[in-house]
Amino acid sequence: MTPPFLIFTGKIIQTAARHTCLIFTACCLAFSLIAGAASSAAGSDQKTVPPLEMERLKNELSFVRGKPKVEGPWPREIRYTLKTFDFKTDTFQQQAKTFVLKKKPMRIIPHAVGVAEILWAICPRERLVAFNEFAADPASSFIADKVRARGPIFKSKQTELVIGYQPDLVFTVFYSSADFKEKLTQAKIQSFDLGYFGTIESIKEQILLMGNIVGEESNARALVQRIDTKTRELKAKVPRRARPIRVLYYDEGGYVPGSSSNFTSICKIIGAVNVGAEQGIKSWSQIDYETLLKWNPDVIIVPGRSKLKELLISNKVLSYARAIKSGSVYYVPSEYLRVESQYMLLSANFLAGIIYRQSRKPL
Amino acid sequence: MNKKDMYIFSALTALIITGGLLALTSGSWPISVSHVPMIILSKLGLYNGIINDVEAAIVWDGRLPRFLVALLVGFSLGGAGTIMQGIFKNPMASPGVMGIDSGAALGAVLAIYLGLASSSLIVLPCAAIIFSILTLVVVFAIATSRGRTSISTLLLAGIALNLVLGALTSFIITLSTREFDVGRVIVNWLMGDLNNRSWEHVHIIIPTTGIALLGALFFAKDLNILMLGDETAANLGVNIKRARNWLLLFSSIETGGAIAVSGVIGFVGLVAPHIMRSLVGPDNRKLIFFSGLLAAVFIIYADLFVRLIVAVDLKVGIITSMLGGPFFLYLIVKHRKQFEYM
Repeated sequence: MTPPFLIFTGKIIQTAARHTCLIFTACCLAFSLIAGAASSAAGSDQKTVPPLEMERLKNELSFVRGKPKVEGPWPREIRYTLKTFDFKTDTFQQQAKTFVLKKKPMRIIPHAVGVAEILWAICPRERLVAFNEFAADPASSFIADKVRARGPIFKSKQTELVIGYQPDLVFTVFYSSADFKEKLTQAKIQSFDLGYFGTIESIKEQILLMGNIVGEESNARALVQRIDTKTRELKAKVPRRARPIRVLYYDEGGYVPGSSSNFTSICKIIGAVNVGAEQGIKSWSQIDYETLLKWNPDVIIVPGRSKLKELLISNKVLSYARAIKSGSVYYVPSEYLRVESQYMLLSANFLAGIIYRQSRKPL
Repeated sequence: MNKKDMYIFSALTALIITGGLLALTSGSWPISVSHVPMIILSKLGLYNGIINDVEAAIVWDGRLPRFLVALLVGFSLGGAGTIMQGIFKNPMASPGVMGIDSGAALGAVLAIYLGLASSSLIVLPCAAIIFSILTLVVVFAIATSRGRTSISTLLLAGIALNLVLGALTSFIITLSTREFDVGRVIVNWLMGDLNNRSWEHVHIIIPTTGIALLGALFFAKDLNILMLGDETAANLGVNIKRARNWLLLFSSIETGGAIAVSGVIGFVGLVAPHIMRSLVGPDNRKLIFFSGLLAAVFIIYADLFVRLIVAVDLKVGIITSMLGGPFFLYLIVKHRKQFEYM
């Protein structure tokens, strides 16, 4: 015979199990509802309506061919001004330089994402023999899938691999490591150091310069013309406002870009104001919540893969900030924020889609 | 406490109050000095007048938690440093010698690198505390044989683990350089930063500081006797193993809690006990408390300097290390005769 206390205990366990099942089911249901709501909210964040059709614009900027023209002579001497940004002093520096190429480069390696994106658009792709890892990273590059499909890919510090590809020209940038450049020199591989890419104007200068170096001048000119045309189209579609929208790009750790950053140029294209630049920041600077509240931007942009939006929205100090109150905090995929090529126009178009869909709201 | 101690206590308290007033009334958003007490009283339910909601949010949810975190971090590091110097009978000992700093740093850096830190304010401090406790457990496991924990093995294990954990942290930093923004956050955290601290951080550090302080004060008398040597302590009836282990645990909790909310802030735990020892004497029953107060003053003013004078891009940890480093060198020069015979 089963003792009464065991029967009693069994009943309790049964009841508890039943209740647990019920609670568990309820929790699952609640969780799926919350998750569903969260995902739809996150999805709505990305449902921007850019003035120009994104995919079409991207394709138009990814492959450009000018009218076939008789090539300039080789060897050629290229005179140019190297404009660089000194991060220590937050100032620009310019230097007149000359570069001599004995023959048309046929095995080219770009050592930066922006350079790879430009060459991808203007240079026959069989002449690009290898790509930097960042050009294959979707968080940094607009041609990541194409670069991955094409390859080969090397890591930034794999100088030996770069030398092994036997390039006749490597495009470096002014912030590429001195060690990398030195090893290329030792291996007698010609490299060209490109300067500042932070504004659409400087990007156009670099495109023309690169076109001249790789012997694709007409394609480079065609890309610059396309940028100009598309910029005009974009500007024409952006609503005119008496007071420009003030946008703050808030990055991890509270860092905010200033006037020399590409974000300022992106904002300028669409008639918005980069609040960091407006407040006197030059490259990047860290701000606290109190300062953010004081600057009171209309829109706050945060990088896509972060959790910064939730962090900002939940902060009590910021609950009085205009952008938080109006729900104008948006995720933007990282590649749009890091852009240093013709795709800056794509970023501007994307940002316009975000900030001007709010234009009917009083700001 | 004698008259001299009272003067020192009053001076330190006055410095903390002045620092607090400066911290609450100054910042990028201009707030009238007269509004601050009204906001505080209103939030405490002691004032029913009208206050500006924005100013209240800035003072109550921005400046006050930051000040309290600075105060509690300083208090924790000063207290932990005193305990460590007492246990190891070594003036160069600090909370870092057990590898707890490095453990907490590794936990926090991992949380940032894996993207967990940005999901909630609690994740990073929790990771730092868990890793600091794990480090303590490992150090103890290495140093304990047949139920006895050797103090010199403890020190050596701490140093060795410091190196291993430091190397792992460096490895993660190297990996994070691919993600520029992640690398920047990690480096910031490793430099010790009180930017954007909130009540969540205060809630994390209050229990660690409170428990550890009470525990340390409970064993402070034993610590005084331990400093006379193990044999003497045993003869005087102190349970050496129990007292030492508890004190190390309390010191680790204080350090872990402080690092969890502020990042790595160096040298405060080393410098504050030294200065206070020369002022109030070696009695740990007073010294733990006074060192905590001095370290708190140190961090509060370092944070004010960073926040109000240089405004951006300089971190509290850099200030404390810049001032603490030369003091450490002074100690070495002062005691070099002792070292020659070691």
